[in-house]
Amino acid sequence: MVGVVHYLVLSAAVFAIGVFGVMARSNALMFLMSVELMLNAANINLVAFSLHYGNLTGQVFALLVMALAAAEVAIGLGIILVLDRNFGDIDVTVPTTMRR
Amino acid sequence: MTGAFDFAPAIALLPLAAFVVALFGGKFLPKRGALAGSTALAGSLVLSIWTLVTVAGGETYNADLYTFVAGQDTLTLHLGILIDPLSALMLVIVSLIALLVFIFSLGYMNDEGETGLPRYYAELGLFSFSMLAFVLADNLLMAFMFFELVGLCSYLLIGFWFREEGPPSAAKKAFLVTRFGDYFFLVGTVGIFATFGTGMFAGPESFPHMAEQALAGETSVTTFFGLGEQAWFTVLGLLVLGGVIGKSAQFPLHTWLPDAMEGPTPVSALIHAATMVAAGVYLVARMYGFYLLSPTALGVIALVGGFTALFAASMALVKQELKQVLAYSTISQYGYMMLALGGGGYVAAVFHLTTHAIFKALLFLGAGAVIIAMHHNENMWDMGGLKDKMPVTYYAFLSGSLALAGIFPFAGFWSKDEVLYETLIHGLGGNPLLLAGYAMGLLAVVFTGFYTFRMVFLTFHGEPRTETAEDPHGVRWNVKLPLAVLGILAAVAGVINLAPVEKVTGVHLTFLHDWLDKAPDSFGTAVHHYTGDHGLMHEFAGYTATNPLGETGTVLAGAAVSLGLALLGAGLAYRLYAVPDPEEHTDRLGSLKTLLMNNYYQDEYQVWLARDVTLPLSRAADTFDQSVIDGVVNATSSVSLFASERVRRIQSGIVTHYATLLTLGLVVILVVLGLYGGWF
Amino acid sequence: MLLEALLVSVLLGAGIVAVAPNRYAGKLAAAISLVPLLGSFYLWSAFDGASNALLGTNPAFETTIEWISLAGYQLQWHVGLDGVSLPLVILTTILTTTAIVSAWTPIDERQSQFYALVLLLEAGLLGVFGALDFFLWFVFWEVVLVPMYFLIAIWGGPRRKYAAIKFFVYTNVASLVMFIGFIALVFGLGDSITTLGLPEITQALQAGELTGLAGLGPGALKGAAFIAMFAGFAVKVPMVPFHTWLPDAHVEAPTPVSVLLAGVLLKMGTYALLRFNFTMLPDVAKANAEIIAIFAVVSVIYGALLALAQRDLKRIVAYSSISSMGYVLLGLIAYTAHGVGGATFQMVSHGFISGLMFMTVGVIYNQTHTRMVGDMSGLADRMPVTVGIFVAAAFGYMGLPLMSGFAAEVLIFLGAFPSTVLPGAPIFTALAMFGIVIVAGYLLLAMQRTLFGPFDLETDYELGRAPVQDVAPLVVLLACVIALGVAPDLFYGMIQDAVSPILALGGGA
Repeated sequence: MVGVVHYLVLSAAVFAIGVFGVMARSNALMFLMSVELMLNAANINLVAFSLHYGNLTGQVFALLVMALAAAEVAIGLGIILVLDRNFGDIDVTVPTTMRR
Repeated sequence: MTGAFDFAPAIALLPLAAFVVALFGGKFLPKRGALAGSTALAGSLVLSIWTLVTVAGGETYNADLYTFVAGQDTLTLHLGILIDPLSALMLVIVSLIALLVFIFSLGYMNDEGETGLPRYYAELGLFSFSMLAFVLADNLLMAFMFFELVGLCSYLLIGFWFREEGPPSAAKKAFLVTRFGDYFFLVGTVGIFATFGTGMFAGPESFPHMAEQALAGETSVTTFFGLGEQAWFTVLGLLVLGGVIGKSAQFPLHTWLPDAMEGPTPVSALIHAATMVAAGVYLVARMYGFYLLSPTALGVIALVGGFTALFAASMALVKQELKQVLAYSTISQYGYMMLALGGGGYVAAVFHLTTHAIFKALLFLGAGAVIIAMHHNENMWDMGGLKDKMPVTYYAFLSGSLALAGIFPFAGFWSKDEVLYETLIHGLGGNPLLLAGYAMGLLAVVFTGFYTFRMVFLTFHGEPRTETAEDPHGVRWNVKLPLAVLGILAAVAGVINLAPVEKVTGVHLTFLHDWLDKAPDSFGTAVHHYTGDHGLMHEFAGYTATNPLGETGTVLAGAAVSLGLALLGAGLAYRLYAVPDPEEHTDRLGSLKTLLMNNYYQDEYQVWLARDVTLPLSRAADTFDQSVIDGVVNATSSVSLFASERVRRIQSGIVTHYATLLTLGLVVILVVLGLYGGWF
Repeated sequence: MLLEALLVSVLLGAGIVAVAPNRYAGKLAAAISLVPLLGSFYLWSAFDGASNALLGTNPAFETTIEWISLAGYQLQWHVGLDGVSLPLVILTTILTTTAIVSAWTPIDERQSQFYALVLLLEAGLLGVFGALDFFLWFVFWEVVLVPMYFLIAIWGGPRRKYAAIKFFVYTNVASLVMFIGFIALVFGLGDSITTLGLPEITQALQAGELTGLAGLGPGALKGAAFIAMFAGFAVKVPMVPFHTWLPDAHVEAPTPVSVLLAGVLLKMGTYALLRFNFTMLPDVAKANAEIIAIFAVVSVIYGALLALAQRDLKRIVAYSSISSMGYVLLGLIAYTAHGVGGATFQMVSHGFISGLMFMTVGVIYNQTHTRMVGDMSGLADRMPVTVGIFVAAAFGYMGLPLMSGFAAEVLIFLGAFPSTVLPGAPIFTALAMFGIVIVAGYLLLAMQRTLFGPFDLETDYELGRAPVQDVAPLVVLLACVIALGVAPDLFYGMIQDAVSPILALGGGA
């Protein structure tokens, strides 16, 4: 029987991959994908606990997160386009104008 | 029934009205306010004389008129009026001389085409108001208030010619030096109010009376610092004396008075000779009942007075400017009055105060006339031979000089002789301090005779030494009239107290003594209360009189000695300077001359105190303030700015770093929570 | 409701002036400020309070309205006046009107904003003196800072930004410290109070309702709160060593603002000291009387010495304010009728005199465009009336009799000398009194150099007589100074009514 623990391990692994991606990759597209991974890790958790407790709230939240992820991708891609236009590159370490 | 005392406030208020009129309307008035002032002072003089006559009829007055601050369950401060023989006499002196000075100013200021006359007459009016109110004061706080106000007027009038460099500086010095004295006066005043709960001069509720009762063990008062009553009274008396020393230009606060001669000469006559400088001595006389309770304070007064008399007279010996000689002579003469007060000669002090006011005002006004004639050149070495050109001035001046030098029978002889006599007999009664004061006073007599006649001979005798002196500027009636009035008074004013004559002939002639004794017993300001057989002087100060040659003999011997010494000084001056072409002779004094010309470097050390001690101290304080105190404040902000600069470096702007920090932060929080929550 | 009417009129006026055209803003503001001026005179004539607002039951013109309920405390709109605050209200209204008129000449840009801010400042000041609820009082206390910041930062001199920020941060940090101290007291009182009304808190403290807080016993809590509040108010007064914002702020502020800063804002500090430290915690004050007296004496002497070293006329007056405020502290700690009463009187008197002094310096600056002592001399030749008033004001500052400064100082000295609360009171008093010599020194020196001697001016301006609109406010203030000097009882009676209940508080003598 696959228990909740298995889902949690999977979720943690996916999350860790996402974190690694955010920290290690400088390509904005990879960055965006890593963020998606982390969001989905959270979704796995929500759905797993929903099943575990027999409560639908978690699944509703998972749907919400998906909608949010979609919105985020839309904005994220917009930002990436602007990055490319302004800096000629989609490397996230290049633009540091927010520093001041 | 309305009597003189109902109009007493008007004595002071009339000049105040003249001040207001001259200040706001002087521009539009004929003579620029002089007439308003003269009229007001004439009114004051009439009222003062009326008051004097009323007092002669045996009436006195002591009442609060205006509540300055009404205290609730605490001190109430009043302005009030005390009229006893002493203040009535002083009122007449002040208003008479002020009136004459107003008239003289017409000649000295208006005829000479000065500008700023409304200001001049306004300030003169304000001075008269303050001085008269000071004389009328019935309590110490009111006295202090008007003491300060006369100081203000003195400042303004010394600095009258403000467009030049000298007068403003002299004015500042005068105010500052007297302020230094007034500081002690104020501490003393506050102390007296704290001790007795009142500052009244006279009456059963007055502080001298309460102090007397306290010493007699009848009541008790609060003293401070655990001092005994008499010691504390001495402290208070000496504190008030600080103000007296400042205002009456006694050593060591005398340095402002010679500088004050930068002011117009009529001002010097009124303020810096006859009245304001007398305020200090008047104050001691006013609260004499308090000083008599403390032999220490009396000793200090006598010593300061005797020393000042000698010290100032020695400096007058070498001065070249007419007004400077008179200034030092003024300091010296006030030293005599202090000597008399310290020596138990209350009547003698008041007597000398009266005669000195007359003859010194005369001498200053005479000097003013000479200065007009000499086109404002004051150097005596540029004068000479003015005797024939201006006879009225000469004879008046001569009368004043004879009085100043103490030559029989002019006014100064009688008063100065009485000062010395009183000091001598109380000194011989077993008080070496007084004998020291007496010796110094006696030596000063020679100096006085010398410098007085040096001045007369250089100015009026011999041949004219400059062209101006050959053809002096004439003076009008408004100068001559005051000179004539004062000249006559200087010759005859001695008759008010011919003590030696009384001793010799047995005819009762000590009118001033009787006059001052008229104060009612309830006031506690009468002479017999002070120096009578059972007076405070014997009971508390422990003074006794000893006449080694019998009373008459001692009087005559004392008079002969002082007259002889005065004649000696005058004769020396005659030999040296009453020649057609006098020389300076001062070089013979050698290095002493340098010392005297530099006034014993008294100015230097006081200027040093102000300029080389206080100013650098304040600069150091400023540097300290800017660097250390403000430094700490600015350092606080610098540290915050610096720290924030450092912390800001985390904000690299690279989004990956932010993500890393976020993650690290989360991990740290989890670990900490875990550790504290006991998850591990 | 009279006090509210004053406040509303000033606030409305500020709004109207803010949108008025620049050309008319000055005249309009002056006209509007006449409303609170006349109103305060009416308050004076109708005043019937006979006790201390914090200790008695019935302050004059009292209004209490429930306002907000917060964390178990009722916050109220609670205002009222007693003999301490009414003179300060009158001082505020007179100084505001004269300051507005004196601003007509020097302020030549963004006038409508300037005058609106001045009126807002007046509203804040009136609120501070009128408020009897801590929350309300604190709101007004902070409101005062805002217009002051802008007035210095926009219309100030070359270093205005530095001075404005220094003023704002310094005083604001001080407010915070004070606030913590006071709130600690409020929490320490626990359930014994249900409002933040100052009278209620005071009376609860007198009744000994204070319990401990956060491990501190009542005694330690009182001590800590006293220190926090004392430090907070000491900055405002300002007292050495918390004074360094003052000269910077004064030098950079435009003259009319300096007038209000020295004339009224400093009094907020001493007023608050009297209300909070010395009325609410008298036992702590009495137990530490020597330390407080040392602060007072150091402020007097050190402030005066600093003034002696300055060459800028405005800095001279600024430092001398520090010196004068030291007398107030000395009078307060004496806990005698004339000591505390004289200190209160000195607040009013110094308000008028320092305002007058700053205004006179400002009038001279308008003509000469310099304030440095070395840059000018012999001004008396060209501007006799202004110089005459300058001399009068300077002598007022030196404590010349028949001007208000003398009455105030002599009352403080008479009160402080026999104080039984302060050990060694005569010594402290005598030391502080030496200030009257130094003050004469620096003012006479400055006057001799600038006003007298041969005429000389280092700037390139034609020196003319000052316009009437510049001189008129000076005359008004001089008249106030002389009136209070000749008849101190105009205010001193009500001041004594208000301070006498304080004296017996806190045991001791």
